[in-house]
Amino acid sequence: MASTYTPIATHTFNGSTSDIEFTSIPSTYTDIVAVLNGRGAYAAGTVLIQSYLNNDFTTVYSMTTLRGNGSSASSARSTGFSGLPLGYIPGANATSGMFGTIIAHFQNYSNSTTFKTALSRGNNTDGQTAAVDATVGLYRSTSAITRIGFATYGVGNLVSGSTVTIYGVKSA
Amino acid sequence: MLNTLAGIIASSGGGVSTSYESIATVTVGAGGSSSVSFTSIPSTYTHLQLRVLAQYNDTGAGFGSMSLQFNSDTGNNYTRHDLIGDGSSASATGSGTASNTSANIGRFYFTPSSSIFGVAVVDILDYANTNKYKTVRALGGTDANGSGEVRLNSSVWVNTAAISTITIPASTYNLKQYSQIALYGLKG
Repeated sequence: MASTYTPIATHTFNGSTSDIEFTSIPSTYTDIVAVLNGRGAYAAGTVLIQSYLNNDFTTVYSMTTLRGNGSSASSARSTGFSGLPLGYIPGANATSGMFGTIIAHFQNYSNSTTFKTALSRGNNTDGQTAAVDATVGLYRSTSAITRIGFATYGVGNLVSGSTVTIYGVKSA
Repeated sequence: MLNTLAGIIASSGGGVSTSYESIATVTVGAGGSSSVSFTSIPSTYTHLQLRVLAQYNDTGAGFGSMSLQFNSDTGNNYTRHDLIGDGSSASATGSGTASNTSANIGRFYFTPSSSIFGVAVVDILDYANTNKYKTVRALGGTDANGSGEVRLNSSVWVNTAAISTITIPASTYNLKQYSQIALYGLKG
């Protein structure tokens, strides 16, 4: 039976960088699923993680998000972004040892007909600035995605031990 | 400039895990489609997952709801709960009683000419277990660069029968070309 959910590549951060980009992503899958487990080194409770597609840093990204912080639920929207916000992970001010998880789905990433929509869920439970969020993002390009980058938004590295893995999901 | 991890580290073709398998995929053609059905679903998996890329076809602009029905059950046998973020506020809707004719899995964008497609990942848990009602969980949304929403949906089909058919019933709008619904089975 052909593999349907296949690990493509993984990266473990050593604490000296804020980003990583996966290149030469094969077009043979239907969806890409990224799993990031990380913590930011920036002195804040949380750090935003963004994705950059095809090395495109122009303002062609937008998103709608839903967030719960333990006391209230909220929603926000951003347009004209230069990256795709995926969710938050703990920063340096979070409880020691706390890492957050973001799972992002890049659906039908290799088609050259539609704009690319990504779906992500983030979990950042650190007892201080905890939150759970769900985000849908749009990359206004019909180009097939061959490169996916993950980075902290503007500040700080990802601490040593942070990981990101991308998987390919292939439909019949 | 990002730090680049050139090429592929892990093998992209060597994995032989068969715990997550593709069952069937429907891709909507040029004429559009009013409904989609998966039939004769084998009972050999533990859970099912639908991965959806969709846009509805209409002359205006807005969002259309997508739902599921199981085993051709069109009766009031489904509960629904939705948590919605519309870009400005969060809201919740739903009913804990079986008063709906389908399980809601999200809303998708429509417009006469657009490359914006919504997406959803839908989990149907223990679908073949004849001792349980069937739980559906969905994460989905559409961002339309200034409009859109993201939703968490949960539904229960109040029936212990094993699911052998999944139907996305016809709605007010047709599914547009390039929409794709893929069904996967997960073995436990």
